[in-house]
Amino acid sequence: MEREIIDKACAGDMDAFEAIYREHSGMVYGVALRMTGNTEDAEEVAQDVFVAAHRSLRNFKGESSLKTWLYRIAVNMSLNVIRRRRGVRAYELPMQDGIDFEDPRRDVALKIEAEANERKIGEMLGLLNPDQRACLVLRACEGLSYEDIARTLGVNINTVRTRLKRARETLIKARAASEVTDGLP
Amino acid sequence: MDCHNAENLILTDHLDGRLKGEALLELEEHLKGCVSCRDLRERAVGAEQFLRADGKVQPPESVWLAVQERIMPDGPSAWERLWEGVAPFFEGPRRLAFSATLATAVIVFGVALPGILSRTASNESDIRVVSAALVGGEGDVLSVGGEVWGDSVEQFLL
Repeated sequence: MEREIIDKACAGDMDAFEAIYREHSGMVYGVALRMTGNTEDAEEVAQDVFVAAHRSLRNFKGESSLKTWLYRIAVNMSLNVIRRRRGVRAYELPMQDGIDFEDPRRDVALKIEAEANERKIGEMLGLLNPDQRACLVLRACEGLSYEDIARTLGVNINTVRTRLKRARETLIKARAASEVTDGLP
Repeated sequence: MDCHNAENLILTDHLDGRLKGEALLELEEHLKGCVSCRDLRERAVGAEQFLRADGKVQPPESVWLAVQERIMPDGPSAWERLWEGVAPFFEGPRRLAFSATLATAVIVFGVALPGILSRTASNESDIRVVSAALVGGEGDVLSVGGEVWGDSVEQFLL
C-alpha cells in the first residue's frame, strides 16, 4: 500500500504526495518543533523535509520504512538549522501562539496547565545538546526503538544508549531543580 | 549488581522496556535493597511520563501550501489555465452544442481568414507602391495606381 502511494507520487501524482504529507507531516513537524524549539524554524524544516522528499522519492529504495526515512531527513535538517543559528538565536519555548495542539480538553485550567508543561518541556529539551535531544525526542516523544533511532541518526545502538542516558540524567536534574523552584513536592 | 550498573540500566534499557530475563531479575533484586536507585527509577519514570504527555502537533496549512508552491514552481501552464477555464463548457449535456459551435467557428475562420489577410496585405503593399511613385514624381494617380486603387490612394493622400 505504502509502495503503491510512493510509486504514484514518483509518477507526479500530487494527490498521492499529499496523502504522504497528511500521513507524516504531524510527526515531521513534531520532531522539528522539539528539536529547534520554535514554530518558525519547525515550519521551515517541515517545508524543506517534504520538498527534499519529493525530489528524492525516486531514490527511496524501501530498505527502511518511509516514516524512518522521513525521520532521518527531519532530524538532519533540524540539526542543520540548529547549527546554522547557533549563537544567533537561543532555544525558544515551543509553546507559542498559533500552535494547533490536538488537545481534546476544553477546560481552561487544564489547558493552562498543559501549556505550562509544554513550556517546561521546551526548557528542559533546550538544556540538552542537539544529538542528545534528537535521541530523546525520537525515543520519548515519538516512541522509536533503539534500532530505528540508530538507523535514523546513522549511529550504533551503544551511542543511542549513551546519549539517552546522558539526556535523562540532565532531565532528571532539571526537573528536580524546577520542583524546588516551583515549590512542588 | 552495583549502583553504577543499576543506574545505567535504569536510565536506558529498563526505562525503555528492553531489559529481560536474568538481567531484569538482578536489577529488581538490587532495587529491593537500594533506596537511592529506587528513587532514581521513580524520577526517571516521572520525567519520561512528563515528556510523553506532550500533545501531538500538526503544522499549519500554510506549510503544505508552501511545499506545493516549491515543488511546482511555475504553477499550471497558460494552456492548462485556459483549459481549466473552458473545460466546464465541454462537460455534461452542453458538450455537443459547444463542440459543434467551436468546429463551425474553426471552419469559417479557417476558410475566410487567409483571404482576408492576403487582401489586406495586398492593399497595404499597393498603397505603398503608389505612394512611393507619386512622391517620386513618376506619374499621376491613375497611371501609377490603376483604376482599382487610384481613387482610394488619391483620397487617402488628399
